[in-house]
Amino acid sequence: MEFQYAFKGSSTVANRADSTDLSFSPDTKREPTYFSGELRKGIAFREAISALHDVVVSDMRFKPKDKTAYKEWAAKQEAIDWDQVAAQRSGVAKQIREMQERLSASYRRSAERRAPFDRAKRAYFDYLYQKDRDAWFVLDPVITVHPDEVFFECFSQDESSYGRLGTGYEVFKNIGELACGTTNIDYSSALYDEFQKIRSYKTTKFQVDPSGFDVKTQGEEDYKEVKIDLPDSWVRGFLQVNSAMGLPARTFDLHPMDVHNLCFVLRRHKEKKGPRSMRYILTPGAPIRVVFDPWGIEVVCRRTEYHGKTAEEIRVWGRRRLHILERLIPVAKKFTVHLLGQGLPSFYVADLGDMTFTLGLSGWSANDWSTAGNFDLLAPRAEVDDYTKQRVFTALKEKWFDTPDALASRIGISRPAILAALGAWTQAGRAMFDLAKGVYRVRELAREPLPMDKLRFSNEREEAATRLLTGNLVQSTHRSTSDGGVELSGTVKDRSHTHRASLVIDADARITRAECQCNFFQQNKLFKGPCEHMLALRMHDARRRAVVLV
Amino acid sequence: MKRVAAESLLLLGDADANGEFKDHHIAQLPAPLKTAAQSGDPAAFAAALDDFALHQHAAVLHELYLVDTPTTRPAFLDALRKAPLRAPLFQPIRYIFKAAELRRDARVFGILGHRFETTPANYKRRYRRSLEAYGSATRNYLRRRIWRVLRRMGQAGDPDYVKLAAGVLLPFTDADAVEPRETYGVRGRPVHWDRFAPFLAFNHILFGNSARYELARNSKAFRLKSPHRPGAVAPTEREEAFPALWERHPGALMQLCAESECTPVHEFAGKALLACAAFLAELELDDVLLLLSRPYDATARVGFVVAKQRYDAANPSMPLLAALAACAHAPGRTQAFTWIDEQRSRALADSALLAALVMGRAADTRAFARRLLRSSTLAPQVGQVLVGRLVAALLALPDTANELAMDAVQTMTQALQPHLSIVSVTVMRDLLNHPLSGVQELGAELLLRHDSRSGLIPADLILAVLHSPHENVRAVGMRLLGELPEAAIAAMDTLLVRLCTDANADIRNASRPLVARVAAGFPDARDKIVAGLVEALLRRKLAEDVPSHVLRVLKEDLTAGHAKIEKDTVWRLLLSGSPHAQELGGILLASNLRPSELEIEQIVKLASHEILSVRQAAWGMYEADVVRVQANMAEAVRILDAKWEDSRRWAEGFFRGPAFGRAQFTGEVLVGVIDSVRDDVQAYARELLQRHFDEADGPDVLLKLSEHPARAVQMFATNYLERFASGKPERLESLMPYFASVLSRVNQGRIAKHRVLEFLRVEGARDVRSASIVMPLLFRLAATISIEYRASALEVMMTIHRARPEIPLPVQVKPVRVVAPVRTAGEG
Repeated sequence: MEFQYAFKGSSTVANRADSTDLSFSPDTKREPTYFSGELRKGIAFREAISALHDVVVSDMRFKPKDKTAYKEWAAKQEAIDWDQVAAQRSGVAKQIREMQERLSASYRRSAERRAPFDRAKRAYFDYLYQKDRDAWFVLDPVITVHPDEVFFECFSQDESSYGRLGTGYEVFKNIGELACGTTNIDYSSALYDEFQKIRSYKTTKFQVDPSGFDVKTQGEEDYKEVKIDLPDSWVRGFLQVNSAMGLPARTFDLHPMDVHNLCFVLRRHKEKKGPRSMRYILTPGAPIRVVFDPWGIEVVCRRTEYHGKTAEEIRVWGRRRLHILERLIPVAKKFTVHLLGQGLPSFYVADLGDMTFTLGLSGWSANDWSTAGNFDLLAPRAEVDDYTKQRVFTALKEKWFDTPDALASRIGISRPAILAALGAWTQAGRAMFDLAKGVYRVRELAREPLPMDKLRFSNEREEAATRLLTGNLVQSTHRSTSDGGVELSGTVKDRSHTHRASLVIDADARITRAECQCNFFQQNKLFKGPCEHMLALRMHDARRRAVVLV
Repeated sequence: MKRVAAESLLLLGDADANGEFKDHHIAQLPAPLKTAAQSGDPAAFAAALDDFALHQHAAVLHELYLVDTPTTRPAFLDALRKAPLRAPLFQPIRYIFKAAELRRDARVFGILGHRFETTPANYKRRYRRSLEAYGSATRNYLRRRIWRVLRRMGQAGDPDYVKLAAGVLLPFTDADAVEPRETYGVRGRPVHWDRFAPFLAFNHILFGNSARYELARNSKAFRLKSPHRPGAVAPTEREEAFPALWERHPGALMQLCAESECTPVHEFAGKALLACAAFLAELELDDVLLLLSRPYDATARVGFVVAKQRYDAANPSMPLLAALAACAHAPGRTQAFTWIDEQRSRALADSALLAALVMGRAADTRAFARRLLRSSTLAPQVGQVLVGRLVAALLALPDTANELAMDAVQTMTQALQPHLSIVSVTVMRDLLNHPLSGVQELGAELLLRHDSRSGLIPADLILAVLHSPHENVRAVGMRLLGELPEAAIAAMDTLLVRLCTDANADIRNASRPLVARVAAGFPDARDKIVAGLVEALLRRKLAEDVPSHVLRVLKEDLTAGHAKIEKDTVWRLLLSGSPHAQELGGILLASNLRPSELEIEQIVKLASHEILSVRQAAWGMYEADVVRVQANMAEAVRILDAKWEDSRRWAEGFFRGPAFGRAQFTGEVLVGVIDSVRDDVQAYARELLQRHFDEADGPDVLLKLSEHPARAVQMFATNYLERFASGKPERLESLMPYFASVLSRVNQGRIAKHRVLEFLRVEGARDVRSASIVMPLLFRLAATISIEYRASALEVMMTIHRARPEIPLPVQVKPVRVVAPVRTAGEG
């Protein structure tokens, strides 16, 4: 999917001895959105926007270690050993050793002589890396101006973490002219360094620069046209996490030191094998306990109590993403956690006084097929006609944000219909649910409407699996395995054939082995991912066992 | 029955009755077709039929064949060529095919026959799908049926055989040929299949009596008899079925020669025509010319035979000579060249003949024309008419005839030079817009001659020549540029700028000497070119390698024009994203910008510039004006945080100098330096702080340092806690966020945490106010699971509580329960 922006100039942070001017350059191709004000709480804002930056650059995807240097060394070592064995046999070991000493001496000399060159070469590559750093970011953050707050949103490179920083107008003084709306802003890594220079003793001016909207001359040198080719999976991940926010969830508060403790455990330990999950053990009226697999370390959050009605244990993965919250610990009053369920997105809302920071985490850091099955998040929640949807959107846009109840009483449509319509707009990326304030907000992710038909499923097999599920053509049984995983087997009736499929899911909820009788599996095994029957089987089992969410 | 009746009516009825019948059917057509059919305009009817959804009203197709008036027929035939052979249109097509057979309608019969031969069946007999029409069985039946009809007519000696057979042959073209194949028969014998093997009726008609081809039993295609191989020369004997019938109707053969586009058909028709000597003797001149003009050797040979009979040396027919010289039969052409040489004076006066020779299809014709024209002088009026004819012919050439165009243009430029000047600028533009490189080259050559005459030439034409996709055309353009007078070029400064920034390297390089010449002689033009090139560097997205070329031109050829570049432009160049613009800015920085014109802030920016010479210039500006630096310390020290390490190292040395002491490094300036996020800068700033620190600034510096997010600076700030925050509760309060930040670090900053806790222990115990400030923070810290800090936090809380008992302890202390030691058996 290709996005096009036009920025007038770049976003700049001008730091002087007594002031800091943050000026964000908005996308001039979108409807005018601007804002200006003076920050009252510089430090907290600095920490929060730095955390947001951490979300943008966060990339937890597996990167194989570069072992070329080691392998060269090992090859050389091997050659030497063989030489020695041969030398001992023929009695010329001494001679060879001498020559090797000479050789290594000349290697050393050569390395010494080349050292300045190598250093300069490394410095040059470092420079190139830094210079093109901005090319590493996938999508510039989205900024939205609303009548009650300004908020930034971003999504990480590895398509797994979502960050939202909402700043109420209490944070600002001397608020200038503003125009509500959503826009993309020009963002570069150099900005992060400048953010670090925000201080409370300097006046910090914050503005989304309106000057770009005045004159529409394209092709001038200071207009920067940016074309970003976003992978569909990125947009899909963003929308999935977004639409998950509107779903009912288990909610509880954590003390800042509790988050500190969670991060502390992760900083102190490094797992070599799975399961790599974190179990929240929720017992009504008791402190929340968090158990870290595979060590079984238990953190008891003694200053918080769970107020839910039933006892539950919820596992979440991708726990190292919580380090993003570290910078917020000193400034946060509390953290509110929203858990949707095992393998589903989770949300951490940091209360920073007049600001809130929401960290949304998808089910896993890696979004590969082994843990696929979250496409239900983009499924329509309930049937609602286009006219009602349009009415709800228009009504929401009048006030920019509203609670479902207020909307229902304002336009006289039943609450379930309102919720269904708002859910649909959220899935389409045109609205979002604000967890901190419990309101829906208008937020158009892109200038053009997103192609939802392309985004709903990542491949046709997922679509087929959904069709099989809705047709009630799946039967499944499951059996726990000794290592904490699950073995699923069952039959799926696909047109005239009935396929027998089986799956083994390990303790980290990844498919480790799978079989099916269908043609797709016979031809491709698992090289192209699971077939529709396996997916249907997995979803069927998940739905059967899931605690009712909606 | 109804259809049989209708056809019978048409066959039996006279003209009036048929007219009435057709009018009746026209009236029954759907409304848009009816009005178009009644209008009498074939084009209108074709348009109406195009818009009509024929597949929804399939029966209309058959209706149209019943109507079949001159108005409807062309569009109807076209529809037959395009209609898909599947339901629902296949049924009416079948009806029409049979009706055509009955009516002896060769055109329709032939078109449908060709479609059946070339359109694959919709399914194989075995895999029949429900309700699908035109399967393999149907197709084979229809293909066999075509020949069956013809064979029966031929055996009965029916003269209509010739008519229908010609109709069947005409739709085939050379494009229908397939690749020759070799397969292996029963005992592994190779079987060869020629290019037109799969077409049943076609082969039956052409090779019914052939010694080369045969249709084996149960076979669906004609194979070659041994020892014949595909691609061999056709034998001189005739091979067609029913040769006597064809000889009786040579008109049909003539029609095949005139209209067919298929080589085997021409080979057959040519041989058959040669057998009709009486018919050939009576042919009109136009018909002979037509035979000669066809691009098939066999047909042209017939034309040559006739021409030889009719040639009269005393009074030769010039059109015949022209046609013969350009014909496809090589011996004919050779004969024609001999005759033209004999009739030289007459030939040179005939521009039509000469044009035909120059544009001849065969290469030897064109070579002969060039030889002829170069060895003789044309009369001016003949030459001009000839050039006019040739230009018109070149403009009308199709896109595929480039070789011909190149040859013709070469002949024109070599042999017709004196006559080329008549061509106008408009015609040149047309020639330059032609897709063929040969034609474009002529346009460019003409431009070259045009210029030498008047000296004025439109710039867009020059660009058109230079931007031609063909190298030969561009080469002429280069020559053109080289020959233009300097004064003329100087007036075209935008053209020169565009040439300098052109994506083609050869154009850029060719324009460079021109620019140099203009720059030397015309200062005004030079300044305009400089301005244009600088703008191009700044604004436009130039192709690869262009910016470096522009920079080279500006640096080496246009140095004299640098003085006119404004200082704002220089600044824009320096800040531009393009490295070449930056380099130019660096060159101009020394000459066009005085340091006093720049703000300190701007110089700081230059110290982070990509180009070393620019950074060095920035350093020079600092060194040249130390007083100014001292006066603006707060701004000036920001050079310490430059992007480039060499700038930072230089700046560190510079600020260590004797000119900077405690008076310059105020607390505010020092904090400004330490605010950097770079470790080396922070280290240097700490060094500065220790050297130039003024005790009076202490509290302020501590407070400002405490807001720094870096761990190293937070650690550094602990050194100042005791000196400037001790015993002052109000300062303690403002430092609380700092303490929270240090103590919340996850698994980091142990020393800083210890110092802070120690400081809090001392301060908390000092007085009630301090204790009440410190206690909540300690209580917060006590929630950690780190044994070390939880213990420390509790201990500090207990200490404070013991010193200031009025401050309540937020935790409950349980007395330690003493358990009696358990005796083990061994001890007993």
